[in-house]
Amino acid sequence: MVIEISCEEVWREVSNYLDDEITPELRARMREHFKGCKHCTAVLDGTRNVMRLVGDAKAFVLPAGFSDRLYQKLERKLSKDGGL
Amino acid sequence: MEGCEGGKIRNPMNEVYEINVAKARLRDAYNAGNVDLLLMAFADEFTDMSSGKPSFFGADAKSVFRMRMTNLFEQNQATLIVTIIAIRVFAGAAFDYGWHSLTLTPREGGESTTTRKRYFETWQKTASGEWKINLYIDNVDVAPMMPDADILIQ
Repeated sequence: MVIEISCEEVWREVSNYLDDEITPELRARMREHFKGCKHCTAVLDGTRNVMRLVGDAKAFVLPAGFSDRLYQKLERKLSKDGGL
Repeated sequence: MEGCEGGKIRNPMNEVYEINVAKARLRDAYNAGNVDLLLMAFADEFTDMSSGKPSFFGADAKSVFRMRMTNLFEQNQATLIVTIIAIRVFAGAAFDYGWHSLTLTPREGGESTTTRKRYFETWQKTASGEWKINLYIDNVDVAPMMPDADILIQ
């Protein structure tokens, strides 16, 4: 028998589900819940997309010299505003 | 959140799990067409405010529910999908709410029908430590949609 699980419990565990850091029993309960719950499936898909985006290093490759330019810009801004 | 009942520390997460188990048994009882198993989910005296039916109270509710479910299972193969949104536990009482999607397939042939209802139910913990439903109320679900334009403008 697969034990029911509430949406609230699913939301708490959804990133662990995607990271495969839950027990097989909990995974089975969540998988069964997703079959009947479009809301939680949307949360799962959304979380998966965010995790892919964050995990994809290419999405965050900064152009050459970005860090120097940012540092100089912050320094200018801080000296103009009188520092922190 | 932790509760203390009769000097015994209770863990609400365990209580939530127990209610999930009881709810899974209720689902399986529907899917097996097993009236006795289904009735085990309910307190001996409960309040039944199922949509489209008169309200019944106390022991009457269980008798009427038994007859209604016996007829339903005799005439149909039932498939229930339960979606619990949340469970809240307060010492020896609890409530949960969500959706029940019930598909009925006539045993003598004919098209299946699926009705999705949003439900609210309260639970009481018996002296033997079992969670039983003591109030059930539902109504027919409405598909998600945006509010009317005049409401959005306000």
